[in-house]
Amino acid sequence: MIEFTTFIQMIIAAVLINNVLLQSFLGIEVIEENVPSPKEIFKLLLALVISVPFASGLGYVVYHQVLFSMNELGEVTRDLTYFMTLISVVIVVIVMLTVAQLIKKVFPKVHELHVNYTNQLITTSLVLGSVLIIVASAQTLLESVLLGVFISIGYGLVLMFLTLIERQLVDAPVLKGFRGLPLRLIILAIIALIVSGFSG
Amino acid sequence: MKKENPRVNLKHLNVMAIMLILLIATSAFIYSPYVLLMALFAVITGVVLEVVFMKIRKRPYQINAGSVVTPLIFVTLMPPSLPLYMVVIGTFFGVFFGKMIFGGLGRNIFNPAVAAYLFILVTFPVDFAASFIDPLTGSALESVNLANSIFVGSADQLFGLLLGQYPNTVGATMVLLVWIFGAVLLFLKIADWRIPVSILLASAFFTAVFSNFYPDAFPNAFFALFQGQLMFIAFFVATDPITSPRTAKAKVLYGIGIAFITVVIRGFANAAEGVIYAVIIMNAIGPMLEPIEVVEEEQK
Repeated sequence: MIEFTTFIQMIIAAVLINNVLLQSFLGIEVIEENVPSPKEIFKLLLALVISVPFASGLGYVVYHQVLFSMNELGEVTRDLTYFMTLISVVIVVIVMLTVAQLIKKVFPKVHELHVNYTNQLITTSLVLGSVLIIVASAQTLLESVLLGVFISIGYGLVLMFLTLIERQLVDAPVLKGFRGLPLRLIILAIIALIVSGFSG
Repeated sequence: MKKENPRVNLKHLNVMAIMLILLIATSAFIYSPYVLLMALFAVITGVVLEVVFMKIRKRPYQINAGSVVTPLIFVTLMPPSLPLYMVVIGTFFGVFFGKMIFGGLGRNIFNPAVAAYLFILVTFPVDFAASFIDPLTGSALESVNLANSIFVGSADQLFGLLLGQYPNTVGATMVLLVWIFGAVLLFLKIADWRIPVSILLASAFFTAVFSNFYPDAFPNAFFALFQGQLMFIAFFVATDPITSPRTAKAKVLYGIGIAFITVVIRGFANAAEGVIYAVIIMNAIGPMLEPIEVVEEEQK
């Protein structure tokens, strides 16, 4: 079991301090064209909260129970990290396709948006990068699943901030060259400065 | 052509600029005239940057209080012996990335001076921490915890805080002066009383509550109000009409949010001063506290 203090620290670290979008720019592809609306973000978050923990839990099992064990037995001689990266891609594709079918059956209203994002998410860095980060840092299977949930929430939170801020800049006289992605990156940089205060 | 932002009041900015200059002058008297040099470099950087930016955009430009307030607030948030090149870099970041990028005066989402502060703090953490001076001896200090909990509640400590005998940033050293100028801002209705009052009352409340559970991490609730930059931020920065909410209820919630985040960061994080982070976080969250119709009405 995880202690309460450790649990709180894990939440703050995953959602704020080590936020995957702010620290590693994972999932930046989603905001390249425009920022999703709050409803779309919520649906995306729903998809992520299902996919990422599942993928990271599976990745943890594969890494620690299969690859690591095989390495100890001397049957895998190559660098485990290299193998893990390759296997993670396969895991992510399998998980995302499985989750898409699951959502189609259970949440049909969410399915349409999820399909739009599924292809994007499969090929983006977010889920894959999150799996690799979690596998490297999690100590237990429970921790890897929980980190998957909090990382997804952190990503959704930053997207929501971005949406709210962009709403206020609808008619602002922003320089033509800075409109769109450049301005979003600057806003993300300022938000990253903000969350640095929560370290420690 | 888009109309001017109604929340930009040049007369108010003039008064604000005068008060900031007086605060900086007092700080120069307490610490050293170097503080005036910092202010001069910051103002020149800010003004030149705005002029160049507007010339590139081929727009008419007039130097007014709006151009100097951001650099002056930035200097008041800095330690009194910060190297001049950092003052210039910080001002550049704040004015360009915090204000001009978003469309200039009245369009910024985050307080530009606070954004500049965070940038300097993250980029030059060691130099920032080593730029504080003991106001009584004039000697440089290796590091200062602006919100430390050594204050046990003596009258001497209270007077020391009020009269600027403890090390702090340029604008926040003499709490008594911050009070006086803050009262003037409220009297002239340049600042809405709801924000500083809610910040201070909520800070005391949350500190008192948390100190019951974590007495080592949280100081005396009354003295917590005088420590760090809380007073200065409450009157001069959080009340910025451009980045603070518009409705009365939202302003109170805004103040409470700043207070809560400040108290949490001061108690649990290693940040030098939690109120800075609290203000900029609430700048981002502020619009969520108001009905969307209010925000959209102003954008028409």
